[in-house]
Amino acid sequence: MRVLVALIALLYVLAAFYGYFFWSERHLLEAKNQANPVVSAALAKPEAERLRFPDLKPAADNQLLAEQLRNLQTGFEARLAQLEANQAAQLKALQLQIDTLKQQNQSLAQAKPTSLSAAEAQARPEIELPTSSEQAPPEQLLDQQVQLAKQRLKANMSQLDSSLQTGVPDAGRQSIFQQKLEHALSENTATSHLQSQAACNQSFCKLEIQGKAPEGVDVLQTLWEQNVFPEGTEVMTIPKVDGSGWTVYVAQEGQPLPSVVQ
Amino acid sequence: MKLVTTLALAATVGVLSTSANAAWQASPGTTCHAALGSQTNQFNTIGDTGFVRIGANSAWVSCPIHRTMLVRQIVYVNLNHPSARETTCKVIHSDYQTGANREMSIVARGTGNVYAGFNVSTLGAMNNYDTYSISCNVAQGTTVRGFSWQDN
Repeated sequence: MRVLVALIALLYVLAAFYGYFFWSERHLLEAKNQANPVVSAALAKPEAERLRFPDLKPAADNQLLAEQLRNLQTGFEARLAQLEANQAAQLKALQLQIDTLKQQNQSLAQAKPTSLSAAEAQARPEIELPTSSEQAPPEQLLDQQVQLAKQRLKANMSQLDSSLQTGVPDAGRQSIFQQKLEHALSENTATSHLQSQAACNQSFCKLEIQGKAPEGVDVLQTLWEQNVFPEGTEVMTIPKVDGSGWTVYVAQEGQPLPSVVQ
Repeated sequence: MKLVTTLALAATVGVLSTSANAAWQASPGTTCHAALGSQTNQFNTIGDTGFVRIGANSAWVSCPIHRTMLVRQIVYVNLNHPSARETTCKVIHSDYQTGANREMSIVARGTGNVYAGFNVSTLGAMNNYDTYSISCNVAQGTTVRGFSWQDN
C-alpha cells in the first residue's frame, strides 16, 4: 500500500515538473516569436513530409507515386492473405490433434480396467501419440522430459555409486548409519522385515532399503521419526524403479550432495 | 530536460516495481495437517492462523505448499513453544519428473515465538509440477503458526 501511495505521489511530482518545463519552453518560444517575426515565419513554414518507406525513391510526378502506392497495397494484401491461410492451417492441425487425443482417451478409458497396480502400470507399454503434425502434443513433450530427467538421474546415481566405490571409505559414519537404520526399522513391526545396508565415503553415504512395506506405512518418514538423519543434512530419497525398496543418499552434515541431480 | 525527466520516471518505476515484487509468500498454520491419519483428532486449529498439538508426546505435521507456488532460497517455519523445547522440521522438494525427494531438517529451539529457517538453494531448482512441503515433529502444546517462503 505504501509503495502504491509513494508511486502515485511521485507520479504527481514528475507530472508537475514535466508541465513546468513544457510551459517554460513554450513560453520562451512564444516570447522569441513575438520578438522576431522572421524567425517565427520560418518556424511556421511546414517541412516536406519524409517518406516512411526506405525503398521508395522520391517520385517526380504524382502518377509514379500513385503506382508505387498501388504496388505496396497489393503486396500488403497478398501478405495478409498468406498469413490468414497459415493461421487457418494451424488451427485445422490443432483441431485434428485434439480430436485424435480425445479418441485415444476414450479408447483408453474403455480398455483400462478399474484399477492398475503400480507394477502393471509400469509394465504397460508407452502410448505412442500421433506424430503426424510438426509439433508434438504437450503430453508427449512432458513424457519426453520425464524420460530425460530419469536418464539424468540414473547417470548421476551411477556417478555417485562409482565415486563411492573408488573413494576412501568412512567406516565410522557407515557403522553409525547402519546401526541407526537397523534400529529405526526394527522399532516398527511394519518395517522390521526390511533389509538395510549403508555405505559411506568421505563426502556422502548411500543407504539401501530393500523390501516392501504395508500400504499406508511411510518407511522414509519412519527414518525421520527415528532421527536417522542428522540436523542440517541434505538427504535425497529415490524409490526403486521396480518398487522393491528405496535408495537414500545422505550428504555430509552442512554440505550439499556432490554433483547431484536435477 | 524532458529526456532526463522521462529517464528518472522510468528508473523510479522500475525500482519500485522490483521492490513491490519482493516475493515473500506466506501460509497460515491452519493449512497444515497431521501426517499420520490416526492422530488427526489430536490437533486443534487456533483461529485463522495456528495448528496446535493437543495430544501427548509428539507427532509429525505436514504443511504443503501449493504446487503452483514457486519456492526459492529461503523457507521459514514459525512455531510457538509453550516452554523451552526443540522442534525438528524438515523441508521436502519432490521432483515430479523422477520421483526423487530432496530433504533437509532443521531444529527450532527456544521458548515462545521461534523460527526454523531453511536455505533450500541446494535442494535443486523447482521445475514445473514439482512440490514443496514442510513437516514438523510437534510436541504437546506446540503451535505451528505458519510458514513463509521466497518465490523469486
